Amino acid sequence: MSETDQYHRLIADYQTGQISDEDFAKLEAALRDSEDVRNLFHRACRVDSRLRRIAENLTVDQEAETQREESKVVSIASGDGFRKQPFFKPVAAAAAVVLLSALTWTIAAQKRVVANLVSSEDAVWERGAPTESGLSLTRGSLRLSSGIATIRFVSGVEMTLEAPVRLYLKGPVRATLVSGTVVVKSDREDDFVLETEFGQAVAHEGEFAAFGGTGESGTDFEAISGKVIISHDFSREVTQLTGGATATMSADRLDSSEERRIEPPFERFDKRARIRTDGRAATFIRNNRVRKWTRPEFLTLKTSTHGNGFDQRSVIGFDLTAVESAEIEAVSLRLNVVHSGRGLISRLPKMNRFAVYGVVNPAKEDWLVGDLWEEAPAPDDGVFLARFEIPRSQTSGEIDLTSEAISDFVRKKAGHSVSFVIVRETANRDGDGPGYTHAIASDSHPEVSGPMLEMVLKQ
Amino acid sequence: MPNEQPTEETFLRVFLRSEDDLRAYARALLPTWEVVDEVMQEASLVMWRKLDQLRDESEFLPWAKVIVRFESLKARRTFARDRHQFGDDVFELLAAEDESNDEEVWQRERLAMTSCLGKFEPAQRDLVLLPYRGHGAVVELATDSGKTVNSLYKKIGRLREKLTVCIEHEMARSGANRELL
Repeated sequence: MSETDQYHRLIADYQTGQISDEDFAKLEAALRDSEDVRNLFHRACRVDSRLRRIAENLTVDQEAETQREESKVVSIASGDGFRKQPFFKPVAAAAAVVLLSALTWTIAAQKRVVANLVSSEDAVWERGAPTESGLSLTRGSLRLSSGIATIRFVSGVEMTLEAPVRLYLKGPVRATLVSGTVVVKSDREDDFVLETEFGQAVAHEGEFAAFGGTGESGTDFEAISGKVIISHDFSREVTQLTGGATATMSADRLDSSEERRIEPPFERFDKRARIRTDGRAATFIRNNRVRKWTRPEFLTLKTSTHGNGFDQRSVIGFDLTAVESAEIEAVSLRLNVVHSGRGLISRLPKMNRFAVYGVVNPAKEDWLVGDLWEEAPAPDDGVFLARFEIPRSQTSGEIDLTSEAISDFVRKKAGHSVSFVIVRETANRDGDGPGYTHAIASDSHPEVSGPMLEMVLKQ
Repeated sequence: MPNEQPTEETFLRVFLRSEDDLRAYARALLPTWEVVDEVMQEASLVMWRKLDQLRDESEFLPWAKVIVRFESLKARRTFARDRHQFGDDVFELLAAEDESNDEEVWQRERLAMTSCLGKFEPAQRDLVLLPYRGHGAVVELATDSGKTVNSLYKKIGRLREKLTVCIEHEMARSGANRELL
């Protein structure tokens, strides 16, 4: 190892908090003695800072975190709970009042109401979210799958969501647009910050639209009235848009124009493929009395202490014949947990653990919806892919499973079909009365989406 | 900016332009990101209050660095017992010698980093970014993958080294790395 490599290692250990006392002394001595090492250290700090910014901007991960914090549904792709609010995104801090209120909000009230649903037109939400006007929204993710909805932040800022939209409410003056189209209207003198993957927009007594996507498609902004300030993370360019002007932000550039957009942008989801089960989903019950004990809108899960006839597992399948392995970058398995209304929740342990297996047994890959318990794919027929937990206090919410294991498994099955077995690993507690049966929405569910495999595709 | 009442927009523009560099500067002076966040919050408020002292917008970065340095010094008193805090002499050397006031170098670094991260596999990129989600995230991944936390940190450290070396090479190739080891 060269001397330079050694300093690289010492700096990396220092920055990740893993440096030993002995190595720290070495690093400190080198910094004291060598200007070159100090320059190397400064550069490493700039890299560290940029990496942290990238990590902060991974809003999809952030959504998963929030989902866990909000709905207490824990996915395997989790961190250690709620991420501390990073150093304030300074756009908001331009007005010191906003800065102070934002900080106060962060410390005092993660659960405080940040917005209310004002109106909705045929709005369908993908999680247990607002369905009636006037309902309160706390910090967390919102997914509007169809329709139009308007929310009003407690700061007075109004935002109209045009489905499909994935949004993350961060506070009274801040939200993150993950994807979709929103219109922000602010009559306030203070700023409202809309974060996107590659930068942010600050509304200031005006109205603007954001057409957002993730990945290379980036985000477009259009000032409708008043002014909006756009800042770009990578180039650190800042531009101000006034009525009618537009800006396009991608990973590495920000372009603005005084011309009003003539045509709306093309759909921003062309790099994602979403596949549903199309009916290839079933629950199998140990006593095989499927028609009596299961319902088509539910994929149910239950495990008893003693393995009685009411144990249930579900199997879902996706057709991947139109997908090529090489084009898959990452895969998420999305499940909507819904209230089954069956059994006593109090008989559940406080935390319920679930597992997902990918079916690899060739003899079981051609399973049928009407198969018997003994014939249907079971965990032994697959490989373990993911685990998630649901507190018993939560009977609805969204599960978003993202892991390299799932991505690898799906890549291997690309061009064919793929099946997943879902089981509840934890049993009901001993006691009187029937234990609760967990349910995942199937494609037949009238209100929320059935299982979905979402793939991020390479160009 | 002289003789002009500082406006929100002025502050916004100059601060945004320099934010990343100020954070990196503070990171060089302070042992953890938590402390950096606290110092930057304090420093930004001071900047906002004292913006009218700034004579010219082009002087913002060095002026702001002085404020960050001062706030960092104050913060050092509160965590003086941190065993991995550099001594006063090294602190002063680092505070005085940040040679990162060259916009062209920053731009080259950003491009080099983007290029180098692009060479990583998605799983490697995720791993490099993992520590920013907290120590718990590393512990959880270690548990899930059957590795020890220590070995996972070692792997992350190796990837960071790999990234830094790659950036050095990219910088050297682009002719901007004349002063490195």
